[in-house]
Amino acid sequence: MSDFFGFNTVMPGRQGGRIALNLEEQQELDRQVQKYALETGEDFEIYDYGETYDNLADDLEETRDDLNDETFGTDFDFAKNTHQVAPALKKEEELYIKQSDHSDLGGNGGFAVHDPVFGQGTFALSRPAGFGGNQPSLEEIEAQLSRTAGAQPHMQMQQERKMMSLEEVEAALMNINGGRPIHSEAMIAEQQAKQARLEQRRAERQAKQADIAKHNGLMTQSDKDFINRIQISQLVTDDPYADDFYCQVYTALRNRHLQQMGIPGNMMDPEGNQGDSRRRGGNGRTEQRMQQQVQRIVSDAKRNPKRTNVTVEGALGKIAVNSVLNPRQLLQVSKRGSYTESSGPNSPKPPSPGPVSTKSHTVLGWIENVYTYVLALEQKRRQQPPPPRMGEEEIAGEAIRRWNEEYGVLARKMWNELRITVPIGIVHPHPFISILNYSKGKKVIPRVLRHLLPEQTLTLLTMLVANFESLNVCKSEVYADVQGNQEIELFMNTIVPPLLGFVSEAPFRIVVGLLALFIERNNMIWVARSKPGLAFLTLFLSRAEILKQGQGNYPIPEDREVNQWNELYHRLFNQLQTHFSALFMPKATMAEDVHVWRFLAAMAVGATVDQQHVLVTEVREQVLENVIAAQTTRMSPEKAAQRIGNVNLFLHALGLDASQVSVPSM
Amino acid sequence: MGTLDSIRSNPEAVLFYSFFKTLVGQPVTVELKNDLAITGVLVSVDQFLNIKLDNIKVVDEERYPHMLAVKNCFIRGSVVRYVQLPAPSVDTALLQDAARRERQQPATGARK
Repeated sequence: MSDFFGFNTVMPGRQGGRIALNLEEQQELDRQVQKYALETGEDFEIYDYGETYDNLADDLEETRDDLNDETFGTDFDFAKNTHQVAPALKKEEELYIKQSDHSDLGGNGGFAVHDPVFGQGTFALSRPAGFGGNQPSLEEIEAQLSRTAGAQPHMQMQQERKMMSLEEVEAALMNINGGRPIHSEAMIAEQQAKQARLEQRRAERQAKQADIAKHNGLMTQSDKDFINRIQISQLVTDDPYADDFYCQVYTALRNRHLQQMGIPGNMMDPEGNQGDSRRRGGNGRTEQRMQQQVQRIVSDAKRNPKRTNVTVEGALGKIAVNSVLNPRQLLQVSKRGSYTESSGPNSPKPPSPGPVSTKSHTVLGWIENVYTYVLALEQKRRQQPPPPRMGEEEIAGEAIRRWNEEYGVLARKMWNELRITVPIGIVHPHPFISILNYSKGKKVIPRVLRHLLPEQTLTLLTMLVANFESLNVCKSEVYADVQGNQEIELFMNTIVPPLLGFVSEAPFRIVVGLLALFIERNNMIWVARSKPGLAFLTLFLSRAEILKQGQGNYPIPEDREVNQWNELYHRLFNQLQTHFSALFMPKATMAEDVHVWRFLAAMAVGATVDQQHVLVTEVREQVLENVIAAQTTRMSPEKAAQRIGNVNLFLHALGLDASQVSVPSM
Repeated sequence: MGTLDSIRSNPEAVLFYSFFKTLVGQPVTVELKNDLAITGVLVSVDQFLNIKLDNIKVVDEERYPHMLAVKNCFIRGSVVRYVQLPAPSVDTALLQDAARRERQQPATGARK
């Protein structure tokens, strides 16, 4: 009977009477069986169908049914009859169970359960009740008593029960319980209540677990790995600096900072040789593994790139595939205009040689271009190829050369963008000065200087000095203006320190040249009234002094150069004469004037006796005022000390001290 | 043919994700679009800027008594209006640089 109205009735895999499963299916089946066995507590081991099937079904006689209709008639409905008799059958079964119930001890035996597989009405005779260890209920004890007492008439038994003394009852109970003491009724009830509650809770927990476990095993391990791989591939990237820039650099900076302060940082990036290998070992290995996994995923993805839009054959258009990084556009706006450059919409335009406008957005555009190049250069620095190992110089040398070339190209572009080489006089203010007038421009200078050659730095400094007075921080009426003050402070913090470093390494003739340019092209009186101006003057003067005395790492300058210097000094002095006291801030403002004292000290060191005389005379008022103010105790001791210190900056340069100042009696 | 820009596309989502990752462990205050403001320690953030907070405290407690017993929470990123953070935890110059980089090379499906 392998064909039932055209339907193939051969069971899948049925060959020669045995159901053949391949290894995987067999294992899966075993797993399911074991799991079910655990849940139901049944011992399925005994059902060993694989080996115990006896092929008897093959011996079933399925033929010779031809005369059935004649024998039984055609109008007897077997199924319906069975259905009618079913309740009676069921009742008989229940009666049978009840009888077997009574014949056993204390509720032991089978009972009707709703077995999940075999349906209602199955009898799991093998399942034991929780008899061991529980206190038997009172009825059960009576039942046992009646049995042990023998088969007596019901009434007599009851009377006897009443007449039994407490001891006899206890003795009987102890017999049954094997010598264990009986607690009072109250405690029994209490214990039973507790147990009932525990049972209930356990049942609840089991029900919940079963509920959840209903869906166990839906995914195989490979399914879970697949999903994990997809999720990880979205998160972790091949080039962390490109996609995760802020986080990487922030943690790197913080670790460097913490290390500088002596606190052991948690190194995220592998950096050379750190001695903390013990702690890193554990973390490092898992991170390494994740890294390898990610690299594998990324390289796989690179081999088969996922397209951002899909076109199906015969369809009338493209379907855009969206991901987190390529989100669905809510509005689509096309960019106006076309692009004449081949390098794309975001690359900066080269500086035009003609008349340059100094409109703000143009200048800001230049600054942003500078930032672009600075960022690119810093990125290049991070990707610096390692120095060649022994024997690999050829290959490594090629990479290094290429890197140097690319770096050089970027650095040149950045230099051009700064507009330092634009000739003076075409536009006022000079484009470079316009850049420096913005705080964004000031902030980028220290980073720019790291990528400049020394001669470029000198050119930058020269340009700055030549056009100094057009700087916006060079105005002298800014003391009351908060924002102006902020710009001045920013200038002092960003531009002065790196250039100070540069000048401190410069030879004598350079310093002379710079000061000459400074004096020639700027109104000294105007410049000297600003903090930045004074800072630069002080810088040049002090450096020259150091070099003159041979304390720099250069030989003592020749006489010719020294004469040049002296000439310059005199020019400067003459210009500033009679204006020295005006350098100080107006009394009303509480501004700091330590930089003025420093400048005066620098001037005093290079001054002749006459010039020193002039200096003292001009600032005498200020000196006295500070000393008097410091000596009267109206201010805090720190402030007083600060005042004295300031004055001493100047006085020591003259060979004097504040203590020598005699306060004129009023 | 110019590139198609959009007002709503958000390549800066990656920047914010990177940024919030550095704030893990800091106390922040999240203000939601339904005006509920929650202070807590930032435990984690994901690519959708969903936020998990620990040890939360609702800013205006009387209005939301149902939150009294809640210790930790998970906030879907799309319902956040503001996140108030401690100023010293932010490196503004670095953030500006990161934003510049994001502008130059928006991460549009570059990671596959």
